Amino acid sequence: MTTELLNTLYVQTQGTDLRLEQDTLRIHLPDTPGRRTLPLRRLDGIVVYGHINLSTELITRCAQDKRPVTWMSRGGRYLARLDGAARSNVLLRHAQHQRHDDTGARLGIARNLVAGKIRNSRWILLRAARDAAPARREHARKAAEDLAAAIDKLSAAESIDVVMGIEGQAARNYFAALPHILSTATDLPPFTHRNRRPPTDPVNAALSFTYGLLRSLVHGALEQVGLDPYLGFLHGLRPGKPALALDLMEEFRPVLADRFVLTQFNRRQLRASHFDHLSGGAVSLTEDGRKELIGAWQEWKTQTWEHPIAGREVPAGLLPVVQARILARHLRGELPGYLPWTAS
Amino acid sequence: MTVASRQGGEAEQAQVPLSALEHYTYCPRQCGLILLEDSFADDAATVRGTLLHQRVDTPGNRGRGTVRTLHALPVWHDGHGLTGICDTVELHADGTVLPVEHKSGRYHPGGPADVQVAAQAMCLEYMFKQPVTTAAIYSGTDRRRHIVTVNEALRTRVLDATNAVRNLLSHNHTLPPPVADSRCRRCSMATDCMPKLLAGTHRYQQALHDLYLLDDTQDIDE
Ligand code: SF4
Repeated sequence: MTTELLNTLYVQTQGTDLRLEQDTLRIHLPDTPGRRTLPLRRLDGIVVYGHINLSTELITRCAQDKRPVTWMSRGGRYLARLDGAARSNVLLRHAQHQRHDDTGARLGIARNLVAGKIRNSRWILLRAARDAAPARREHARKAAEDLAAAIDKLSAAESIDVVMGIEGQAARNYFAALPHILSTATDLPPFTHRNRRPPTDPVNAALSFTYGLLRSLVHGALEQVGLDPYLGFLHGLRPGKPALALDLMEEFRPVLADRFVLTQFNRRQLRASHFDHLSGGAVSLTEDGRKELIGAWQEWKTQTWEHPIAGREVPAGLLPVVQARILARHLRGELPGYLPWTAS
Repeated sequence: MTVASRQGGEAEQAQVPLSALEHYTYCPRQCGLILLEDSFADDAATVRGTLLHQRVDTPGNRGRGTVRTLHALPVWHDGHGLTGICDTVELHADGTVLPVEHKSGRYHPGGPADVQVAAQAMCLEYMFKQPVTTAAIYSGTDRRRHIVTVNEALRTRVLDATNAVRNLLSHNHTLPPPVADSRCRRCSMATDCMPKLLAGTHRYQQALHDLYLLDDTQDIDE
């Protein structure tokens, strides 16, 4: 498949200059003599963080080749994306809007999205429980039971609000158990609960940054398939928020993002020195920390996962595309429901 | 002026692209995916095809002086509502007009390429106001020309396919069902199309149901 590669270029060194030189990308790092070049055809996307210059020629060329360019803030917040001559797919978008207006159809999709998320959260807890010490195992198993009960309730949920409520409670149970399966280095402050805007401990800082990476991956998948990332089923319509991207992220958060972050800490790939503690209490990744995380993410994306319904192994980086296609087929009336991806 | 505002006049029919005839003949769903869902997967075969199109000076006819070769010629047929571009059209000294379609792959007699090139012949007939009863397909695999006779049967296939494509475009926006056979293996749309997934809807239905069932023993002990 030539259209589906996994070579995304992430640039985060502030002040880097990217230009087009015929069919290659020329990279100028500030304060670093010499330059690097990359053949453009080997790249299927460019993601830049903060103050990075892209020449207009490069941007237009990427637009022409449908090679998306994503702008993130320096700290990893999603800002914007350019996707070239849009695959407008107006019929699909129309179907998306119609389904959104149909309460029953919308509820069906929202419910399944959340079921996927809770199943995957539960999978993480059960996996961790298998090789944890007895005390920790108890915590993880208890939370897994709570999640099982949530899935049960979910099957009878009759409104999006109820679905949202179940999702919120499940997330609290799940995050309460995470510290027990996380073995951070002793020099790191403990992770107690999920917080953001801004994160106040290293684990939350790493989670927030990784959610940004995941969001850009999912957003791109939706664009690629021709779905409108701003019209969601679970998250509905939220001005300025890509609600469908947030929807589709849900099922991937536990396995692709949380587990990824846990692994980085458990393996001591992320250490205290990778974080800045700002006055007032906010914590953010240092440039080195981000570099570490992005490098690991690139590798993580190539790791394959079984996809029971597609009947094959799919690299993590392409799972969102496969799921976006399944959603599209459901919206067009070709599949009887949306089936989330669940880890096994 | 929009079609709807015309009164009594002949409503303008949707134009059908020549390439769509070939896609439709190969697999109706492939044509639907391309026309209705803007999805065009640039697979290796099409990329090679594009490269090939850039140098379609047909071997054997250059420098003879008796043949004028036109490249990338826009063609159309108002009566049938067809429009497209011919790779190559040869204008021979004796007045013969010969469309030559270039394919990177193998030639399959009676296949979709025949329909496409016959439609080109019909457009050229309309434009040059003279019969065009022969067309050719140049295959990149065996590097030779295959002559196609544009007879009545083939013309009927062209018109049937044209109607079917027009129907897809104007009335019926649902995608044709997947053929789900050996064609899918060579199809550039397969990742978008998901023929197997759609064919096994029962399994899918079951999986939707199972989403809310948990099998703990399996989860923990496997
Ligand atoms: S994958 Fe098969 S069913 Fe789908 S468009 Fe291609 S040939 Fe047709």
